[in-house]
Amino acid sequence: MQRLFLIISTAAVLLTLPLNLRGLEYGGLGGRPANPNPAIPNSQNWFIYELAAGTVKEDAVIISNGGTEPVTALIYPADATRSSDGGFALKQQTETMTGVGSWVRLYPNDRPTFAAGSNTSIIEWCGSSLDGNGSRANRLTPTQKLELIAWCRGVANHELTIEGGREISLPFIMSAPPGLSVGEHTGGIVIQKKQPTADLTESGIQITTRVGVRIYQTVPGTVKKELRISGFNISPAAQPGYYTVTLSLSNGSSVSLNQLSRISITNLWTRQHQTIERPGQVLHDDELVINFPLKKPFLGRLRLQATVTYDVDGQPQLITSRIIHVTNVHWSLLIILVLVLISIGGMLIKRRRAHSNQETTRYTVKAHEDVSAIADRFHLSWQQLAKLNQLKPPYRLTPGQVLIIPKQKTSRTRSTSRKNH
Amino acid sequence: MNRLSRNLLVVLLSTVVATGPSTDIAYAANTTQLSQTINAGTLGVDIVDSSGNSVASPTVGFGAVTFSFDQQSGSGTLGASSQKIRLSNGRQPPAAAWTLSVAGSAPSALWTSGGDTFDFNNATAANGIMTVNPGTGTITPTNSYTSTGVTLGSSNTFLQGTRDSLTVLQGSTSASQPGRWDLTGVSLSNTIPATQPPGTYTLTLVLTAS
Repeated sequence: MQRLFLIISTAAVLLTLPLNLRGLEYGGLGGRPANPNPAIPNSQNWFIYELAAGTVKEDAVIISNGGTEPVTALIYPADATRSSDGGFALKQQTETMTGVGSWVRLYPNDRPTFAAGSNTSIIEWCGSSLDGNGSRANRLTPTQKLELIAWCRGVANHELTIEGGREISLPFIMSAPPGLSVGEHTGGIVIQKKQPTADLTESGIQITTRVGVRIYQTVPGTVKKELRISGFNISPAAQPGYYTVTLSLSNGSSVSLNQLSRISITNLWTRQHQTIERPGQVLHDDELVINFPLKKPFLGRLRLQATVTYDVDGQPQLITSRIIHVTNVHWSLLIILVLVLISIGGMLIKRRRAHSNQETTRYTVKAHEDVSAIADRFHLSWQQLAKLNQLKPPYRLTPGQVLIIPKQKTSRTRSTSRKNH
Repeated sequence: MNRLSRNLLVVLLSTVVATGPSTDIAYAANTTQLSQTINAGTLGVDIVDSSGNSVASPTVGFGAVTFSFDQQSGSGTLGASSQKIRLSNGRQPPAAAWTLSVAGSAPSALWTSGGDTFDFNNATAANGIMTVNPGTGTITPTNSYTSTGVTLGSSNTFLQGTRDSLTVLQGSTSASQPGRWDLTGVSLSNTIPATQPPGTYTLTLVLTAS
């Protein structure tokens, strides 16, 4: 029985092992360069070329479907465009391409069989076939030559269906047109999911998804690299309890620049300090806006400053932002503060009322009167009367001298005198 | 044969059972090798349901509004719990930056209902402008990844020829790679021109990860 259990369980584990491994894969449409150069950073993610004007490069993009179901995709090259906040975006297929998107041609189809027989590159193959001196060209009929010319021109877009878990390598040729300006030119190869039209029963939006594999084509030459901080602000975030710190970086040069932003935050009341780091790329002729969420302190005055470092020909450059301050007191503390203020205010009003009850009147000293007699008359101690009138020892009074007497006491005196009378 | 040896034989036998037919038990047991190729991953974006399955025709519903003689506004949420935006970065380190942006299917696209239309990227609000506010969204990392280095875009409006593409989410080189994040709750609103004829208006937006 134990043996049978072991057989079944081990077999079950082994049978499901490939499925588990498949589960580790990324699911969905994607693309990546087919021929990354380990010596070029990021070439496993993006196509990074340094082509002189008037030259061409042959490459391929791998299109993968990591899901389990077949997916139909539309593949096309596109110019890069600026997204808000300095993000990298690509033009829509419906737009006219004037840059990288128009310099890439796809070669999805097999080479014509009548001219097959060579495993050389497309560039060489088409060149030798069409230059008129190639042996193949001389053997072709006019119709075949036209077909060959059409094939060698490539296509601007291609639709294909990829089975789940499969990859397809799609060759393409990138041309750097003659007269292309020195600096960086960006675009990408787009893999767009084809999906059925949604049956919307109310007004709404249909969402289409796509992935772009970036192309960075740089024409070698001297370029000025300069980055500047174009904005540094703090504002309340949509999420309660948070600020949004916004740092904007402008790149006026013709190449993208990699930078490292550091936001230094000090609470001047609690002396707590933190640094937020955010590396990133600022595209050429663009502004990158980075939003940092920052938790509001319970109590404190924050001092923020950004420093940005970037590299110019191996020399690190450092730029700093203005300093901004923001004070935050948590609402619970604010309520306590308001209550304290209300209490203090109440006490002050009470004291003022009490003080107003003690308003004074004046009394003119008559002949033969002394401090004790007058104090007795107004039901005061002679010390109170002396202090109130700032009398100094030996506390002599002169007739006609005016003394200050508390009003309360005077009224009491009056009522007392009235009673006495 | 002791108990350990018997169990070992059982495991070897079951290996043969699992890996396919064989005529010789002894050879199969000694030479069985398992191999599996995992290709390099890629960047990708999809709309998935709460179970993580791809949604065939994702949509964002805009609540119905009533005909009005004044300009009014319709709104919806990009990234509901049943239609989450899933950004998957299956690439291997070192990390590379990425952007998730949203754009109309063409800068000249329009909200359309039969022959009636209005704009989503006009310079004048009275003709139709869409605002996308990723700031209302929630980023949820999947697996054991974190949101470090992943930031929401700023609230912005489409403007034909100037802001054709709006950033929804950005990943810097400090973001996890590989990494996968779900985004929900991005608010969308669109001004509707005064006296716009009643109808079921639709528009196509394109989400691009690059």
